[in-house]
Amino acid sequence: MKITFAVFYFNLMNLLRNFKSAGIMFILPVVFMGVFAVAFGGNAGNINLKTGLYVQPEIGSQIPDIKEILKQVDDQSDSIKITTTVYQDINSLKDEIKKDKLNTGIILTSSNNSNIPFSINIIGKENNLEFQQNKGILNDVFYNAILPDSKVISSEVLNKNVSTSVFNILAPGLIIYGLLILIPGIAQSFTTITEKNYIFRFANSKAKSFHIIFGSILYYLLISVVQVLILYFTAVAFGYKATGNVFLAFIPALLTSLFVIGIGLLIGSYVKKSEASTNIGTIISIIFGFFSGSFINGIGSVMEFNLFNRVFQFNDFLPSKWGTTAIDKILTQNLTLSDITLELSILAISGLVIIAIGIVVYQKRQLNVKV
Amino acid sequence: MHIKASGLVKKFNNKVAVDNINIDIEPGKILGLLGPNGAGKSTTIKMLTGQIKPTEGEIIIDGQSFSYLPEEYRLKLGVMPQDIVIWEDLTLLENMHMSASIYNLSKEKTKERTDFLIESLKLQPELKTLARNLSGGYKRRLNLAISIIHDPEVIFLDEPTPGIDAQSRLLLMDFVNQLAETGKYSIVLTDHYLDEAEKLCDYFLIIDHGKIVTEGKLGELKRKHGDGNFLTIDLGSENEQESSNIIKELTKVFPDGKLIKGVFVCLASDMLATLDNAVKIISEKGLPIHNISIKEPSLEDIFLLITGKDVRE
Repeated sequence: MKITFAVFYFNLMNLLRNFKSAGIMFILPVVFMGVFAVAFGGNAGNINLKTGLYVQPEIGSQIPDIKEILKQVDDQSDSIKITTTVYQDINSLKDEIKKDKLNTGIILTSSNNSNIPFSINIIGKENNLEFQQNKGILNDVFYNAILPDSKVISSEVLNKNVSTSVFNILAPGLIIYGLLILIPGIAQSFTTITEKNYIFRFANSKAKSFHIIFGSILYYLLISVVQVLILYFTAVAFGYKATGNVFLAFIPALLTSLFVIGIGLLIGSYVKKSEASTNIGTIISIIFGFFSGSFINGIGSVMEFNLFNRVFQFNDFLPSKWGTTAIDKILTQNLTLSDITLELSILAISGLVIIAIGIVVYQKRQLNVKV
Repeated sequence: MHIKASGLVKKFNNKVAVDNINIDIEPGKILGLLGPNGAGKSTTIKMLTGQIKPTEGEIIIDGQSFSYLPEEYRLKLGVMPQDIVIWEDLTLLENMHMSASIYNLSKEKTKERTDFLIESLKLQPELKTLARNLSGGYKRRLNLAISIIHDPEVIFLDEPTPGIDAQSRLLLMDFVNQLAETGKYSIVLTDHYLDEAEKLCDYFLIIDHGKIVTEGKLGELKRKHGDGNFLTIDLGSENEQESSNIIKELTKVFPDGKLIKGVFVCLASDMLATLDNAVKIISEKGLPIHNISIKEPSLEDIFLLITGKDVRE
């Protein structure tokens, strides 16, 4: 135990006395969290309808008040913002669309068909993405509005109490990224042991690979707890609406750390230069972060394949992805540990397996007598 | 613990680094393992201390033979490496505690050893200084202190004093001498400072190109290789042709003489007659003499005569 704590203490002092360089592992995820909060902090379905409305005077009395309907939609929804400007002639409305001052035009004219009192024409630029999105929404709105006894819009879609911000979806993944970004530091610290020949001191002493590794695991578990706390409170400060218990989230976070430490250890066992191991660790952490849902939520079906009559995605084999899912379920969806037993099992097994491999490889490559 | 090695061979990709070396590290004595750079000293030490496995040969510990040093015996060794290996981000005192911890020393033993080494190596003024900020001399002292924190029976010092100030060098050597005088420790020293080694070591083993070229106590080496007076003649290099002719003449009179880095060296029995002969040969050719000396050979002179190289080459 004394040897393990000596390694723990050595790692801790190494961090504290090199905080200017080592502190990046805390700063970078916080910066990412801030950037993502600013970029995606608004509501996910924040749809902006800048509409122009033209109603042919002859049909004015036959139709519902479209402007009022749109206002109601706007009032009921946090996600849909509608501003409606009424135009007296079609050409002015079209001009405004051409100048991108409006993204959607609504034109109501009399119908030639005697069974249909009026027709609605939604106009906009084909290459305007907002127009493409708005067209569907307006179709729904008008379909509901003109059918008898229908609601203007369903309350499920526009429920004000459920936050739909992309940041809220990404925050658990960003917390996991805070752990993944430890990989370069872990890899570097194991490489440094060899590079600075500390391994010589260990090899001549009573220290075994498991002392070095468990001392480092203890240290990085402490760092992980600090990292999760920092990122959780940063996320909350930036508008993350967590409803679950942050302390429960430590369990999947710490299990994810085992996997992270194992990866760092394997890199550190093979790479001889600390600069190279940092670079490799950084690349791996970004790739893992991407596939773990740190930067985008979910990956495309192109990554799907069938195995044992089940559809898997490529990242199902990445433990950190399960870490993201588990933290999301606990923090965002307010579920309990019994709801994430699959995630916890995968994280625990994969973490322990990779640590075990790491111990064997490290002992063989670094501590054994060279032939 | 009595370590012997017999027929040690080490090959790296078929290149022989150490070739059939026999060593006896006598308990309570200091062995000087000497040789020019690349002679195979460090490789020999690495095999003796269990850092690498010998390609051939055996290591005999207290009469028991092994193909390489077993791990349990490594704890009885203290190895001070040629390069400084200290925990850079720890203070000097923390370095000692860290090293004591990895040997799992008890609290009392740690205190006893730390106090002893701080006192002996005069480390007190820098106890709270980060190791990376220490001067070269202190780094070397710390390098030694943490190598022997666990009070090993056999101590290997692989070039312990390169590039440090004279004061630190003297202090380190005095300390090694103190350790040796207790008779408790077997010490193996490789050193480029042969004057230092000459004072400290009880017996020597000189290797070159991976092979033992000679061994024995200083007196034995002098009798074997330096029986007589050591003559050196430096003719300078103004007239290379003339110098070369004189060297030929000198070689006729002193057949054992060698030309090493432009300096003629040889052993001669009669000091005055030798000097007289040498001066006469050179004067006849009318060339100036840059330097001529004759003296009792030192270990360094013997080393030069045997290997044909300066020990720091």
